[in-house]
Amino acid sequence: MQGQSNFKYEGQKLASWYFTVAMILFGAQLLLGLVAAIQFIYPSFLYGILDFSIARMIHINALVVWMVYAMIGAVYYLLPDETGIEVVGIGIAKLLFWILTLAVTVVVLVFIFIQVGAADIKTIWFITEGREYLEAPRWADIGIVVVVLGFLANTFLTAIKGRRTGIMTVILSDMIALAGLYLAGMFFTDNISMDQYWWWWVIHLWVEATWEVMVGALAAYALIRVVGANRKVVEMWLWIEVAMLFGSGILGLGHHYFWIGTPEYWWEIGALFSALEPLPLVGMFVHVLYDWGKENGFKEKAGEDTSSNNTPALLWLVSNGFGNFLGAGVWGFFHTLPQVNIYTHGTQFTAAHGHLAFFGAYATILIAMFYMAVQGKYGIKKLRATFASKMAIFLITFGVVGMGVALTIAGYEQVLIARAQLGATWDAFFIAQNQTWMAQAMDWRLIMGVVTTVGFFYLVKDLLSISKNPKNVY
Amino acid sequence: MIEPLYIRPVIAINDFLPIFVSAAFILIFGLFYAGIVTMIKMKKMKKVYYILAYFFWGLQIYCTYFLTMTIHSQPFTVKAMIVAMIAYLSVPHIYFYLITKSEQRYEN
Amino acid sequence: MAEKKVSVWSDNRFWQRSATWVTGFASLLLIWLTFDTMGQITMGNQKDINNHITKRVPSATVINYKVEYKMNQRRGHEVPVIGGDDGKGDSLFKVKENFFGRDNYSQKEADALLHLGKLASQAKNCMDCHTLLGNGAYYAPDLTKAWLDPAWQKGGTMQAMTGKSTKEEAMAEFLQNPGKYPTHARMMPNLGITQKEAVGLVAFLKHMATIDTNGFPRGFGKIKEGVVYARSK
Ligand code: HEM
Ligand code: HEM
Ligand SMILES: [Fe+2]
Repeated sequence: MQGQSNFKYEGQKLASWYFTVAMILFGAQLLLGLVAAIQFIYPSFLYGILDFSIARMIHINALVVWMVYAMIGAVYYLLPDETGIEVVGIGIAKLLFWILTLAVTVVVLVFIFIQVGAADIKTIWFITEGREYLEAPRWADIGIVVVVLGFLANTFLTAIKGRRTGIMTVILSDMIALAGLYLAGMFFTDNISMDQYWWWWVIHLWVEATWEVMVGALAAYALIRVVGANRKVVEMWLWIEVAMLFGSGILGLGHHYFWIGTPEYWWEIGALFSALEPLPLVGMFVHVLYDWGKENGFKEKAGEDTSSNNTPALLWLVSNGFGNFLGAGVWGFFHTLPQVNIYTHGTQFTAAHGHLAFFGAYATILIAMFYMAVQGKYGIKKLRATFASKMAIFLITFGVVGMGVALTIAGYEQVLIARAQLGATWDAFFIAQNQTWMAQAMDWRLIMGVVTTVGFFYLVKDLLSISKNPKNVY
Repeated sequence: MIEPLYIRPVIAINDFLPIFVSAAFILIFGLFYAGIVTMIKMKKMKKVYYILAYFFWGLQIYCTYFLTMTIHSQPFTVKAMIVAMIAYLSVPHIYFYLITKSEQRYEN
Repeated sequence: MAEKKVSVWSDNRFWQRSATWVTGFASLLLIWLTFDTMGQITMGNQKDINNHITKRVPSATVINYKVEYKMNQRRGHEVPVIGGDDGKGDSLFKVKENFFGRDNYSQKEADALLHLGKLASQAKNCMDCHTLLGNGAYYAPDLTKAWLDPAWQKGGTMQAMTGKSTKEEAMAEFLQNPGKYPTHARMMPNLGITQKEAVGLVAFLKHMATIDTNGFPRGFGKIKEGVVYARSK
């Protein structure tokens, strides 16, 4: 990397470490996603060496972990900015980073090389917990909780000592909720219904409540920094978003309790509250659009340059507004009513939604944060998009949307054949998998996955070299 | 606990595609509606376009109606959808009402 | 600065409080519902079966009984029926069925088998290829009602392939040597499942089939059998 680090604070330097690991894990996620996608087409690929279950497990665990890394990084990045002081206990914070990274490495190595264990509680403690997304063994769970507690302590002490802002208050309370919810996934039970009940507390209350609020807070920060929006107005809107997101998202949890053994009243609760879940997403979209336009209007009047001070970050921010609405909103609403969900539950539809939502709602805004860190690191006043920035955003978005469309078609076919007509048996499943539509959808998913991956390489290149762009040098 | 009676008719094969399409358009029309209201508030569009905005809201209602009927909703789902549509209609207005208030207060 | 007339609607503190109240209220409602749901999904025991009480998640001793999945007129969808039905689609808890040659597993034995099976399902990452109760991965068939799948019944393709005469034995045999019994180019990998673990897993699957999933999957096994063509490529 070129140039000297210009970070004003050690906390921001630490943030850049978190971002770096996040990018590496993002790469690993895509790589293993490609492996899994190839296995859909050529099932013998790596059969018995790195089976689909292992590839997929690493794919989605790397996804969650890179996003958690990026969120922690984002908090460390904005913490000194918001509070006006250095992160308290920065030495410990750095130590925790290394511990966490070491633990993640060990977990991944065990996933790859040991893979499965005997039906013994020891396996749960040391190899895999075997619950989708929460496969990390128990020792690692405990380690994660300890590290996160340390992280919370750092942030808390800094926030108390420094300037107190609305954004910090939201982030702090949200982080506590986020960490607390993780505990709901840390126990073993023989009762699979009970197991799934609490499993969704972690998964749903993360992605549809606490993470969304985190996105709201990061978007608020970015709007102030990148667009120059008025803090008071942005913070007020942030509180309204929190109310809408938690107001719909917490009880929207009901849309996962239709068929896991839980009582019928969840149909009504899940339908009502999750039908409201897209509303705050529309609100967030409108908000970004409005603030951007308004600030540009001000600048125009004043005869100033209307370009943003960080174009790539702004582009990713706008794609977050769209993507969140599309992936979580439209694709979520698609299958959220119980009458529809009984057919779509656990089909490629779900996978289509999972990809579009995680990407649109989270990947986008976290990448925007990466660009903000690059800007901060090299002290660039106006960061302009390069060819690579544009290729990255275009190819990644195009690739993921393409995968989403392919999976939606696959899901539709699966719903019609395996569910509505044949009744979800073993044979029904494979008959649907053998249809041409399904097979071609899987081919397209792989092709679009490759497109995404190419975009990812552009992104890496750009993050490493954008500071050298002559237009950015004064 | 008294167990309620639930009757859930099966969805006809040919109804699946219209169901998914209408579900998508509920939110897409909703986005147009909210987007146009926003553009008007930003003074990038003339006020007459409110007609267009409400037209999209109308389409949204139609899609919702279509969806709720085609999936054979229980009365409760119908109510939930009505609530959602009213929320849709009002949220952009409430939002800009609040924004103007807060801008009067915190800016200039 | 001159005090302007300010409205509560543009007051950050007002919205902060509102957000807190909304969140608090939603959380309390969720906690309350959680208590109710916990009560309803706690696993039953043999006493419930003896008293003909239908639990949403029944006792592990259901492995001693015949299990079916039938349309229930009152509920308007299929429900698991344990030990024969009473003519109206509710469980009779009477008709027994051998499970690996016995139909008299004690509560303790059945609990131990279920425990082993559930542990195995996690230790082998079943959920990362299959769905359980519809949650998991989409590479392989849903296992919610696998126990009732026509393929495993007498004359079903899977039972025939393994050469066993009961479905529990067929399933256990398949789980131990999945590579030997492919139904599709996509084969289940060998996960080192032992004989004991396989028995536990089958108990786990049989028990899962008796959970009241509000009619999911709908119309399970509408067709009794289908021909599976391997994809030639
Ligand atoms: C950014 C926000 C969101 C993310 C990241 C997200 C992600 C996911 C993922 C990964 C799953 C699959 C879980 C599994 O593996 O079983 C899922 C399931 C689901 N999501 Fe979302 N989601 C989001 C928002 C929403 C919203 C707003 C709605 C509703 C309006 C929604 C409705 C659903 C439903 C109904 C399911 C269950 C699908 C099934 O039955 O198989 N999601 N979501
Ligand atoms: C190179 C690009 C990618 C490929 C080839 C790929 C492939 C896959 C495959 C094969 C699965 C397993 C689906 C199944 O069980 O049937 C999967 C699951 C998943 N992937 Fe990807 N993926 C890619 C990129 C991404 C990205 C960018 C995201 C999000 C930011 C993502 C999020 C997910 C999620 C959330 C799931 C679990 C879905 C569920 O359980 O419903 N993937 N992916
Ligand atoms: Fe959810």
